[in-house]
Amino acid sequence: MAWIGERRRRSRFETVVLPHLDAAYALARWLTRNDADAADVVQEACVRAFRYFDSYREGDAKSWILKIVRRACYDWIERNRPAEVVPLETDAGPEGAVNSAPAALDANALLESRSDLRHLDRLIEALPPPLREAIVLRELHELDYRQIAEVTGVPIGTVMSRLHRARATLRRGWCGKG
Amino acid sequence: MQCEEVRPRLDAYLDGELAEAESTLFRGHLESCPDCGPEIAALERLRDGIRRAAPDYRAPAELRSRIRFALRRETAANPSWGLRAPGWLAYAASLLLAVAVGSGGTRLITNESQENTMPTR
Repeated sequence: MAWIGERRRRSRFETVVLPHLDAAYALARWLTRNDADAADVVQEACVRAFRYFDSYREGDAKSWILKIVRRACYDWIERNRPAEVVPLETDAGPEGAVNSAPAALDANALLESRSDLRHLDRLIEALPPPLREAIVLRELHELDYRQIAEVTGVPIGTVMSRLHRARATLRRGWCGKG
Repeated sequence: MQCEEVRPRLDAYLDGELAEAESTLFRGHLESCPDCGPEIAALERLRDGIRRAAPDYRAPAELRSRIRFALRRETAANPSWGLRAPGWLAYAASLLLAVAVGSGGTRLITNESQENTMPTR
């Protein structure tokens, strides 16, 4: 009865993964910066996760799926926007990382921002991906350092330094508020 | 506690990553230090700003059904997933079947021979 086994496997996958769909989508949206692209990447990541579902062990399902979504995002960016690719597992110095930010945001766009909060939102979007994902996972997904390290595949020390650099960059840019 | 000990770990304090006892020591220092106090206040303002500024991205309603559909298509393309059973299980099942068939056959023969040897009245 092959179809019963398939249905059970799929149903179990949906029970484990779908509760974290909003978190998965939000991470993809922050990394791709586009609604439709984020949805495509999450769908692709879910199919990928389903293929490897046999290797999933009971535990932190949110970190597990976010890790796969994050990887799918970077694969997608590499295929579709190669100019934005930055090294993932190595850290440039604080200034080097900031300078390597994709030029998606120009100075005029920043000056035109009307509210401080909108300005801050755009500053977050302009962070280089390794700093952006660290701040999003910490402040918006409320993951702890150990979980962020798990999702991003770097040591906890690197998570700490990325968060520190992300905050320093945001404070510098968020004039008069930091 | 000295500023030099506190400053490098302000982020960890803010993120609730310090042990309870250490966190209490930090709090004491931050309440009284004219340099570190404003520093943690600025970090807290930034955190508050980030949480208010960031859009609350939610998965669109149709994404859930798109994913369910993609998963069904995926299982249809890989029908072997439902059949996967460990080798020993398949072996045990075949042994069981063999025993069942064997014993059933034996019983048939036995019944038959009992019937044949029934005393006739």
